Amino acid sequence: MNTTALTIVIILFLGVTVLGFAAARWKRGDNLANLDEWGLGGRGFGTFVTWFLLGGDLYTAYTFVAVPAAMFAGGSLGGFFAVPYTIVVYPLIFVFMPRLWSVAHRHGYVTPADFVRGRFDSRGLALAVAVTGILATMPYIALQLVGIQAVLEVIGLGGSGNAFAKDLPLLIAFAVLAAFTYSSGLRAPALIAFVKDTLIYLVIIVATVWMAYKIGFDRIFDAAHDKFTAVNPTTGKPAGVFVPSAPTFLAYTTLAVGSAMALFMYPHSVTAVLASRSRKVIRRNAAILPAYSLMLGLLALLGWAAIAVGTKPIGLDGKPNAQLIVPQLFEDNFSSWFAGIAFAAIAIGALVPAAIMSIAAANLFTRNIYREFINRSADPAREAQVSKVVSLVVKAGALVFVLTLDKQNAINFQLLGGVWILQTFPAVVFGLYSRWFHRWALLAGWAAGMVYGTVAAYQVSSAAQPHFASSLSIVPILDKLGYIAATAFIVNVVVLVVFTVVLRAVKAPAGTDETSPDDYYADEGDPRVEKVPELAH
Amino acid sequence: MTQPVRDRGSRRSLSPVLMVVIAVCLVAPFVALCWVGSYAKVEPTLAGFPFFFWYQLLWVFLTAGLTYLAYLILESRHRSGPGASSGAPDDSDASGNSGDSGKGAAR
Repeated sequence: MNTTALTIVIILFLGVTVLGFAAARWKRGDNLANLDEWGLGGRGFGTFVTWFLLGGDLYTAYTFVAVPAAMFAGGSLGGFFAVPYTIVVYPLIFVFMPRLWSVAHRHGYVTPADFVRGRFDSRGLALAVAVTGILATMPYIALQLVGIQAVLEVIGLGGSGNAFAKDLPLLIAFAVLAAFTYSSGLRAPALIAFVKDTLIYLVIIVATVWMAYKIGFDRIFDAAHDKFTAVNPTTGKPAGVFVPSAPTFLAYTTLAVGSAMALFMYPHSVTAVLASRSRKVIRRNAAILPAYSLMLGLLALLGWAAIAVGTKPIGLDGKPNAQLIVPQLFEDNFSSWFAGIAFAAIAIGALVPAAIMSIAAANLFTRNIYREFINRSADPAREAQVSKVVSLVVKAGALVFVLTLDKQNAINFQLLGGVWILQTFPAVVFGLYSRWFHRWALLAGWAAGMVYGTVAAYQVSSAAQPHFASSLSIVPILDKLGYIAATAFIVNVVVLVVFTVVLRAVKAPAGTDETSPDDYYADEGDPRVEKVPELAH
Repeated sequence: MTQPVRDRGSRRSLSPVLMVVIAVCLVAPFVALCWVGSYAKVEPTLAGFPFFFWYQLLWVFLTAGLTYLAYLILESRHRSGPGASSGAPDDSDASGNSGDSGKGAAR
């Protein structure tokens, strides 16, 4: 067991625990008992805080573990697309998110489903968006815990002994996370994000200098080239992808663009964006957040540095596990104390997105299921209380997921989560611009995309896995590999357009739009729309 | 349900030329990175990096710069416009009369 590394992880973890609880007092509003305060941090974060918060939120611990692992195991197709993906996401955020922010600001929307409800006057469609968001978020939270587990495993914790001792460190980390999220809401991950991002940047800078001077980038790329161009004697195919070739161009493009479109449909992205103070804050951040993409690109190359130095990611069960490649690389090649900082960066890195995801999922449940279908007269204080409790339930669910099911299940579901969440894009983003699309057609398109994507993902098999083996499958008509989420999205849009034309032709009721064109430009300081109390209550 | 939006119209709209510049800034990263065939090659290498890798990392900087340029152009309208104030919206549409000029009207 690496005691020095473990000590550093524990010290830093205690530090962020204190910070997490202290966050409750940070930039505190007058009245904490509502979702704007607990769930959106008072909707007042400026450019600086938002940069750390969004950076810490979107670039999750699992990303830090999985992207280099994909580079190490399969090469650049499945790993390096993360770079174009996290580049093209920012022009998208620049264009779409200020509109969503404005309309949410005017109407007090907390979730994307709130907006869909108001725009299309459809509880069913809002429910579909909310349920999709919760389903996509749950396995994502589970994977943050998998990220923590990877670190603990390399340190030497959690391998042997009885089941309780094995999972104890994860249980403690989880309990701490749950407690400070409950008491401080979004302010906790916002404050912890400063620590997370500082540690991550520190680790990446040191690791990059190490790659450049101790190994040399030419040696790193040579090693990867040799590994992935070597022909596997049993299959007769290359072992992986060094640089994508023509048959996989479509896969690379659709992975990048599909993932980018999906990323800001995730409830946790929307939550962090809605917590910002103004439209300007969002746009400025779209220009400065790519700093994290550079960091992610360098981190991806660590997977190939591991090839060059011959890192062997063997789990405590004695089996090879590519997911351990980054922690193992630090364990083998750096001093214990620096490995400890790297491990802490990943473990603390898991806390920020896990907290925001659980808050976002809880807000969806409270606003679009509880208030809509269970207790229509819930007041803001009641909403905040329900959300706090649900955030605990969501995290407990993720923990049970990780502890009882095979890790592969969490990864499969996260793959499906990306496919699913992209199917809410038309209702939310098209809805920001147009009301031409019919609410029932949006629901039909969503259903078609969900079914197509789920079936297509289920049918992808490999030697190692009978189902969910990859996020790529053959695109019908084009007959090339493409990202399943993107294909499902096309199916979704086709169904949406056809149904809209039909429903408009038969004059199906379109519902009442509670937003007005001006709402999409409202900014900081503009008044909120006051709801007329419904007489039914 | 919706409150009437207060006085507006003091905000200047962007010229079509500037709108096109903004659009180009925001679309360029998509065109460059979606066209995988243009960069999926090893040569020329730079500091040991095959072209495929350094070119994409270069686009991190280019996208940040282009997005910031788009932001500056949008913001310039508020600084030079008669209704310039911290409350003015910074929408990306050329329709200069939508939104409301918040604090400008309150003065």
